Amino acid sequence: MSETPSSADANDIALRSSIDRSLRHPVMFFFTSGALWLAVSAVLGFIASAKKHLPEFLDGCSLFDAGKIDAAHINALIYGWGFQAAFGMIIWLMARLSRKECTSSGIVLVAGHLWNFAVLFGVVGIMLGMGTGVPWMEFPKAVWPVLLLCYMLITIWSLIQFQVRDAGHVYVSQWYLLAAMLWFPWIYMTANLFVFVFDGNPLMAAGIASWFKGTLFLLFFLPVAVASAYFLAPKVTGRPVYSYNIALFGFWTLAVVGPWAGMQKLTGAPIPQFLPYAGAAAMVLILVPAIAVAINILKTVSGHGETVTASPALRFTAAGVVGLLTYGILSATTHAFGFSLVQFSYTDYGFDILGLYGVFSLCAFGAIYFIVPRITRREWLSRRFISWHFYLSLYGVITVAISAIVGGISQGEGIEAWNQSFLAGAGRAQSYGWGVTIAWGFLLLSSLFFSLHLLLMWARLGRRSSHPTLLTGPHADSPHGPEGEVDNYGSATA
Amino acid sequence: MDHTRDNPLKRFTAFWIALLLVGCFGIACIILRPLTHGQVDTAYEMVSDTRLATKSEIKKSQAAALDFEKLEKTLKSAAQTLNQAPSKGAMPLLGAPTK
Repeated sequence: MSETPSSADANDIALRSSIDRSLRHPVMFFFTSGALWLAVSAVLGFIASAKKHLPEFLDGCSLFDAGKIDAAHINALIYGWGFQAAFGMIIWLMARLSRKECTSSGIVLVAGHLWNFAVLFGVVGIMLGMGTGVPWMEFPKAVWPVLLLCYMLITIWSLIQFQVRDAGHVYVSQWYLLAAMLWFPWIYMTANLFVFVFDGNPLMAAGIASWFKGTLFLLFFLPVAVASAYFLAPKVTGRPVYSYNIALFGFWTLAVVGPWAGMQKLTGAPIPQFLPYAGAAAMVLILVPAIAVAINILKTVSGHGETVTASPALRFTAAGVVGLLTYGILSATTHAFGFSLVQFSYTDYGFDILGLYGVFSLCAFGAIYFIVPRITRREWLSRRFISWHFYLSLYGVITVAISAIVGGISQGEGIEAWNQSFLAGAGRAQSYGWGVTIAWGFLLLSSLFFSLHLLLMWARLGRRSSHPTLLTGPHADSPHGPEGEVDNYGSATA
Repeated sequence: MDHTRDNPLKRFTAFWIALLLVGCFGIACIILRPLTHGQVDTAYEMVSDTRLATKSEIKKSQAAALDFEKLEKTLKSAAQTLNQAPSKGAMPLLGAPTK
């Protein structure tokens, strides 16, 4: 603690501090508005799930019709929370790793506001019955060009930062961020043009819509989550990534396998036979990059159990990585051995939430707990809030995933039984539906803790301390030394 | 800062390269469009000629079968019956207002 930092260290600290300052407003805007959309999505998810087993629930209002509320819930989760959390992570991580300040934070902030208006218009449009009915592209048709424009205005500066970075090492996180930034416009533009603009064969439009739904998680949300994990695990533990070769292998297997996923949902449809098989094979092979990432991250943090337990960033990230491994195993198992049981059942929803929440969101929470103190220069107020957020999120997402996947398999068995009616299959999933509804209640509570905490941090009401908020023990016992004023913040987090 | 890598010209070039990179996905879609845009015969359109022919035939035969003068007379007499006050002991008419 008494060491005087060298001039190079001081310059480095000053550079990081200036990068954080340049991104403070856009990043905090994306995180807080994303967190509020997450709470909205949890409310909609609760209602949507309740309507599956209690159809008379809120049946007096057409805004809450089952088809509308389901679409509004998943779109608010994806475009309201998911993308905004991803934007915050992308622009901060790329700036830090490229060691470049953001010179266009004003444009990013304006684009962020426009994105929010578009999402609000889209969600309200769906609830008013103006949705398109195409999975994960349900917003009214006018919304997608606006979202694409905003996306460009938000991420293009990160692409420039990468291009003009100082010569030297390209980090694993940067590979994933760069890939995600380019893969999304590819899949989004292709899907929307072929589904809504070009009047091609409607069957292929259905195939492309299915492909978009399959690849959006694998080619955008997953790479961003993995980039964050590859940044945080070495950063917090102070160890290098376990194996660069495994990281390289994991990245390229995802790049090769990911784009094939999606069309397995159309098995039996009159489209070229190889497409659904290729989709199912991709969903089996996704286990390979999942294992590669999980081994690399978990081996990087192995031996640092106490740090994983104490650090909110690392705890959420480790949970997200375990979620990825679970996603890979379940995906490989169901698509290899029992696809007929899950094709038309509730299981798909379980996979969607396991991916979007159990993998992406947990990693995003980890990143947010790491990034926000650095850009606000305040520490998190309450470790209890963080703990509650962690446990409610974890138990909530586990309950949603288990209920939907197991309930869906049971439903699939009922549908497959030739001597039973179709409704008997749906009846099997009813009790599991209760589990999903209760779990969304947990997730709503967790997102309220999170949103409140984040809003307090944005208002700069966090602790003025150089002492990170850890989840175990009183702060005085922290290895970061005694409490200090925020002025020595830089050296404490170097 | 390494000025050989980061200067306004380099940033300007990087901006357009990034824009072109993203735009090329859209351009590729437009190029691929003719390959995927096959002749689409929807079931609705395929049967529409027969359906419209049947519809016009039905309309014609209905118009021919309808005698408007006779219909008006019937309607008038029915209206008169409905407007009459029921005589004592008469059975109530179906649909007539009750008193």
